[in-house]
Amino acid sequence: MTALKVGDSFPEGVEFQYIPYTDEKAEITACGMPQPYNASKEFADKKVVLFAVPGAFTPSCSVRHLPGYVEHWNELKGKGVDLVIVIAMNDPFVMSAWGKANGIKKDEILFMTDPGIGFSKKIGWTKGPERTGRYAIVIDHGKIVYAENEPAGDVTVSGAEAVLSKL
Amino acid sequence: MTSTDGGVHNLQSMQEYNEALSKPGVMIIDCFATWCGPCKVIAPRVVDMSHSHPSARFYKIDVDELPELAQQLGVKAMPTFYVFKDGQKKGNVVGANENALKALVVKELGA
Repeated sequence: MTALKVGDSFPEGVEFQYIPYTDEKAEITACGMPQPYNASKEFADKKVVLFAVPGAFTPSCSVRHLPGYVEHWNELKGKGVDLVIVIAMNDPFVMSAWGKANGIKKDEILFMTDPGIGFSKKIGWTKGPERTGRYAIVIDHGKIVYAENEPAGDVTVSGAEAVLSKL
Repeated sequence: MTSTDGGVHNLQSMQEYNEALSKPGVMIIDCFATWCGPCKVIAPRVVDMSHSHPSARFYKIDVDELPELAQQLGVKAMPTFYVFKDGQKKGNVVGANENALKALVVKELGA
């Protein structure tokens, strides 16, 4: 377990899982299949905001964490962010449905699974034995420029506003 | 060109897939999942197609049963149909698009 701090390199070999976005029309003709996402590789040449929630659809997250990123998405892009990704312990089907339930289209925010909460365990930011913690990490071309884990139940350092203020 | 008795044969192993691939002629693989609605919708149409185009061989794979093969083929969504000729991949159709599949099959049979 290695805690992440500013200045570190994003760990090697981090892989998430997700179902790429398909629009409503496409859904009638095809069912998406969970894909591996090589985060370590993808983050090497981009500016990425990665935030984690203890669970998709759980009340406080949906009400206060994700919406912040939806609201501030344009500003994040304005500060050069290429990707916004949310991860949780839920499987890719649940993550995909959570994205749709929040009206997220295309690749505005990507919804992914941290399989077996492997990445979250690696950095020591988990909630109980099964859930990821609530945290936000900004990776700029493979380097950590922001990494904060929520100390209590509220959304403060892991929220979009906190991240924006540091970009 | 070998004529088949029609029908869509379920491949249950990499070995069966490789055997099918090694035969000459046109081969179609329907990559499906048991929980996928669109796959169920198009399945009977593919069976019909196998009867109306007996000089092509039709197969299917359950992506949950053969995940490595699904990944090797590059399946991203179900159903995905891959059309091969003499062991070479000639094209694919993603989604339950009967017209597109028929067009591709006819094209390869006539080529």
